[in-house]
Amino acid sequence: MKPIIKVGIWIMGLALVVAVPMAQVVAAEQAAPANAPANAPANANVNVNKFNRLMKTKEERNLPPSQDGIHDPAGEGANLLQPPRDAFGSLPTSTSGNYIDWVKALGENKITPRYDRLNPKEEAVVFDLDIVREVKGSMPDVVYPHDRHTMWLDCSNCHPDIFVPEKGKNQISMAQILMGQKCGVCHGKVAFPVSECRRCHSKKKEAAAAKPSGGK
Amino acid sequence: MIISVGGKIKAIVLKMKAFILGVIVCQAVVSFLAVSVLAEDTGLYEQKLKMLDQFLTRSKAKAALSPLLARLEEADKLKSQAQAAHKAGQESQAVTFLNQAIGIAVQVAREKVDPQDRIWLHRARYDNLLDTLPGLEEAYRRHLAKLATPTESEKAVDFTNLKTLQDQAHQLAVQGQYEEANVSLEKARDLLVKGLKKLLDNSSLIYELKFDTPEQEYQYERNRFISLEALLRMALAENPAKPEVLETIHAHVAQSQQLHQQAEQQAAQGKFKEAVKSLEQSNAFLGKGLNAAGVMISF
Amino acid sequence: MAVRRFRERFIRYLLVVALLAGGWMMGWSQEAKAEYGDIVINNASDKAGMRPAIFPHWFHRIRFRCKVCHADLGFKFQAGGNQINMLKIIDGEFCGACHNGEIAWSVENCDVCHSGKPGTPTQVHGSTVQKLLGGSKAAPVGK
Repeated sequence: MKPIIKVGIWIMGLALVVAVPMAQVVAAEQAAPANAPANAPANANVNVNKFNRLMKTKEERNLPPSQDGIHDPAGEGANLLQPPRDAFGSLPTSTSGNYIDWVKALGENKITPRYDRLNPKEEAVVFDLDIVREVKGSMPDVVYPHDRHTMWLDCSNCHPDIFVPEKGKNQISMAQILMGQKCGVCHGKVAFPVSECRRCHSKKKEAAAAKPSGGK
Repeated sequence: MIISVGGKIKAIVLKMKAFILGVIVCQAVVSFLAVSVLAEDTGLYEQKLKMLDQFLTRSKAKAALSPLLARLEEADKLKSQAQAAHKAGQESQAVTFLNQAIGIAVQVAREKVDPQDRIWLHRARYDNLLDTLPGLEEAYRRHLAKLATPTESEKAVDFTNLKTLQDQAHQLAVQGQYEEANVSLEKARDLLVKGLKKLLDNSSLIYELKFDTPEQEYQYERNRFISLEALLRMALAENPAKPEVLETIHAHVAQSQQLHQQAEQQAAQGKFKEAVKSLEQSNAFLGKGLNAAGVMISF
Repeated sequence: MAVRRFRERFIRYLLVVALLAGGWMMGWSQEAKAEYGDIVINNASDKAGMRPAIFPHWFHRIRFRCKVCHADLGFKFQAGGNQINMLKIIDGEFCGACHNGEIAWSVENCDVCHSGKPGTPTQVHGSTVQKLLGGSKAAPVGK
């Protein structure tokens, strides 16, 4: 048989193998109810962090059927959800948690989360006060920066339920943090976990004043 | 493609065709199963129907005596259309109708039919603010008191104004007007935060380690001991160590346990200074263990 | 001949690849990849025959600061610690404050929230506490 015919049969075979399941999928979509939110955005080059990812704004609703992108091959909600890697594409990385440095991302304006539910323009009330907690042993002292936290949180989130805003009134130990109290209410759950020692233990003790772990 | 012998080529091509055919048959079978599974979405229809019933009951109760009731009749119509479609076997149509009906029920529920409904949102914020303001005020007063001669700008917070705002808020809250109360409380909070920023912005507060009694220091060291043990456990869980390294770590831990027991005995006898020393040494061994496990904390 | 055997094997490999590709295209369903900070909420889902809901912090963090939900909307810092149900949501409480068809999509998209494996207990996925108490590897999502 001529080689070209063989190649032809080859290609046809492969095409069938590929086309049959695709046809099944298309048939299945039309049979099964589409769980897609009724207004899935159509354009391919939409910003991955577009504010309303699944919901269309007024301008994008009521497009003609050929452009409305409503016929998505969605069967289960899980297939609709954005894989984190798509969203994280351009964000600065970190070495734990989500593996994204969220504070840096905010600082570089790579993300612009709202401070107010309804008003995207409202600015955060940032409080720039560092609390330095001396620790025993050879680990550097802990520096707690209010500025980075107040960019995200409100005073009432921590004060006074988690931390009393007064010196000497808060007993904090690593064990507590690991068990999800004090700093561990967020760090180790939704913010970077304690495997990043130096991010908190960041102020080296002066050599003269350092307390060696062997005792005073 | 080198042609060797015509017969052998034919055999290969035949095998290929058979293979492809077999693959297509398998695909067809599997995708048929998949389609039948996908078509089994009556579960989804029923769930949405149940939810719609709940929503309609709720929305009707809220919309009683209101023009919004007419919208809910629209939702009812859609519901019966959905049920008809389901009977006729048109699953996707049925669910589409249900989705539309749910949308209407949700819209109606959200209309400000009953102002009481909005209270929860403002109440939550009110409670939050009420909780946090005393702490902030106390902190401000404390820091202000530290200044010998505060400047005008540092005395930014007018305490009478603050009190007025808080009283206003309280008055409104008792009457159930949490939204308006929040406006006053937010003003009070902004005042305090401005004051605190004037005093403390761009500065550092150092919380030194100071123990009033040896017993306090002993408690601190005990907490450190528990913490280091937990950290060691976590470190080993995250990065299991090789057997030789594990041996070293166990040796360190054994030493630290011994010293810990010694410390406990000394503490029981009231010799807290010695207990602290023993615990410090015990912690040093745990530190070595952690270093061996890969977490550099002891130098 | 060696060339023929090579060709046969090559063809076979290609067909296997095509088979796999075909299967993938049929959309073998993938679970939502849980990220660090995902909250599984299963207070009532199992009893109601729904998959448990999964709240992804990372997705919301890109769009809102912590304060909006945790200070303004009354969400407590506790997985399963907020008494949320569908009626409250359509009333505009908790999730419904945004998922109402105006700020974000509305409640008829059941499976986008209720996308967890049935039976997964309420948890903060991948948290330190979970790792400490649940063994050396993070507890697998689901049984």
